[in-house]
Amino acid sequence: MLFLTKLAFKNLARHKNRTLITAIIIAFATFFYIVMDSLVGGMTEMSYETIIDYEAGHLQISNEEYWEEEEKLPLKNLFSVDGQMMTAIRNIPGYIGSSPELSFQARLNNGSDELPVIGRGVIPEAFEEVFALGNQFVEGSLFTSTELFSGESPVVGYQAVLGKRLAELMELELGDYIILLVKDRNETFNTIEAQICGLVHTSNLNVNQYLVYLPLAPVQEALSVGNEVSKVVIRMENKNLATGAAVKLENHLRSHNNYLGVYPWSGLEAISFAEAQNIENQVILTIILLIAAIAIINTVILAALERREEIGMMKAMGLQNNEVVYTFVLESIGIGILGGVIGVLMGIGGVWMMITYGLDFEAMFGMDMASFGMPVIGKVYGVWNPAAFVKVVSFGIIVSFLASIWPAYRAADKDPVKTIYHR
Amino acid sequence: MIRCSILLRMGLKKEDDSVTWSMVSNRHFLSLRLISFFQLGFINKGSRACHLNRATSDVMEVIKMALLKLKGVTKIYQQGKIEVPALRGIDLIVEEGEFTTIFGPSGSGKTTLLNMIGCLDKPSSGSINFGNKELVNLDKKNLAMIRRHNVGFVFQSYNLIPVLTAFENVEFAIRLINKHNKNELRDKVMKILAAVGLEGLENRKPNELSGGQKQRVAIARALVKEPKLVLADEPSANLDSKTSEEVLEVMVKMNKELGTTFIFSTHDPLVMDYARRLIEIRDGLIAKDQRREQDAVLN
Repeated sequence: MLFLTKLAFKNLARHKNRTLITAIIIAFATFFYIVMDSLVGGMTEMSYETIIDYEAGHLQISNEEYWEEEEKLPLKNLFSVDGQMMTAIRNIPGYIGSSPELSFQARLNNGSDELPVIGRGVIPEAFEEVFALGNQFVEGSLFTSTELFSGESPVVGYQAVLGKRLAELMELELGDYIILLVKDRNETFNTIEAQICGLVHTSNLNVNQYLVYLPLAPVQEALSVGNEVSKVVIRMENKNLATGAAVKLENHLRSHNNYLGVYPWSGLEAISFAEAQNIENQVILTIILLIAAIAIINTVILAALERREEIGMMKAMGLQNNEVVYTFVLESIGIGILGGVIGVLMGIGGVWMMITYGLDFEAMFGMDMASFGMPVIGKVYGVWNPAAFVKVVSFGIIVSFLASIWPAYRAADKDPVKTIYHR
Repeated sequence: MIRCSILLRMGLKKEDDSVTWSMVSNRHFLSLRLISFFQLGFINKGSRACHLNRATSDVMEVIKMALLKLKGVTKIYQQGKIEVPALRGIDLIVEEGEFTTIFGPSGSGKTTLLNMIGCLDKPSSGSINFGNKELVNLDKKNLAMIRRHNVGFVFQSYNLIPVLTAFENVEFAIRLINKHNKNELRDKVMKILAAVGLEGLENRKPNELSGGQKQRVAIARALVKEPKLVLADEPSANLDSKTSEEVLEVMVKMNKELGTTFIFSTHDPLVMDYARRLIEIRDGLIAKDQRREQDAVLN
């Protein structure tokens, strides 16, 4: 077997160009997998940050029953934030800030058209501690609690912040008035009139297209919910602290309000969705490696055809079929290893570039990717994922091994008389 | 030689020496064994150890004489619905140490016969005995094992492995047997390469060797495992006459030194000149089987 192993590896050098071409196909598949995995990893990381920074924070406190129906944004199962609760929240390790908010369904009216939107009543100072919206204003700024609109218009009213994209859809501009048609807790129709004081553009599709931010107190009044809120969103120093803190805080809160739950960011449906996207990407990349399998099959078939006489001679010398198969399979594994090593070296370079310089989708495609629902604004940076290197090289070798068995067996099973005498 | 004396005892005259072994029936074989038995007894009575040893060795030579025994061997190839008979009933006995040439026109069945003898193909009917093994009932795996240990092949197109050196090509055959340590193996390979006149060329790859040198490597590869039988199919077809002669000299030398049985299939008169037994095949049958006096042989 040792000699056959030696022969298999010597055969790699027999047609150097062909070996190299097949290895390069595998190398490119490996390279693409590694770079794509890094990119997808970076995008997943960004989408987590996008959800945390603009929607969910690290922890959310809400009524358990409300949480189950959260998508409908009901005005029941709300709760009041008292001093005792705030103390408990502020005492969790790694606490940075907390923002009470009241979410509600509304129809946005610009005077002629209407769109369904999500209204969110917030306390601006607390909101800025938790969310990263402050840096994303393309026009205007966030309202303050005390300041009421004092522009040219004599009407003193509410102020609102909404996504630039939503504003464009509704042909609204900074300073324009909007009307939000809402149903209060008693199912009575009401309207909230506000003037746009800021337009934002973020990597979060919901913020850009569906959310309208308003000061909390007037919203509570318009919806007849007293001083109750839907949830309290908490920001922490590190997202990795969230899960442990959620358990501790929930236990603490349950001693006073046994209906409240604390939910970390990692348990959100949107996060599971981002992970599902990741799996989808891996399936696509698996197809790339299947191309490598075809390259291997092609190489083995060509080699078997060229070496017909040689195989016949080897069998005449007394080699068994499995020994002939062994030489071909080992040769293919050699190509797989060679391709894998080249691919890994290329991949290391590619990932390093992705981490150092990032990828500017906007510059590449001339389009704003966030407008298409991709959680990308500005550059996307890759992430190191050593597991992807190991996985893709192992997979490449396994694919090379599996892909070579059938053509190698076909070559080995040929009648030696026919192969020697070209019959 | 004891063979002659046995034949004479069996009633065959000296001029019958040209009688072929294929004509020797099973009855004769039985007689041979019986004669061996009595001769042993006779020598025992004489109670001289040296006589005993010599006689034993001679008798053993008789017993192991039939390396190959083919009886009623036919081979029919199916070409679509048409049956093409390649061999129509071959009876043949080949002794150990023979230097035999099978000749005949193209399509007469000589290569088919060689393939049957070399365990590469199976007959459509009849029996083939290799030593005491009946080949017809053996599966591919066992046939391969017989080839691995007992048969060496030399083909017209050399069929050397291009990525291996001359040394490694020869080493390959002996590695398969796997019964030598590293030093023994090296010595053996170097010795056989020297014997075929390739000393100093062992590190050359096939593309760095001439046709004659390649064929010598093929011969060394066939012989290195010390097989009982070497089959050479048109070994001189790609060689000029001078090189052919050199290659044949090597094989004659090996036949003499190692006692290896050689069977050739050829059209080449030069190869026929070297043979001590000539078998002519026509239309799948043995047309002529002639043993030649040592003096008549070229070397």
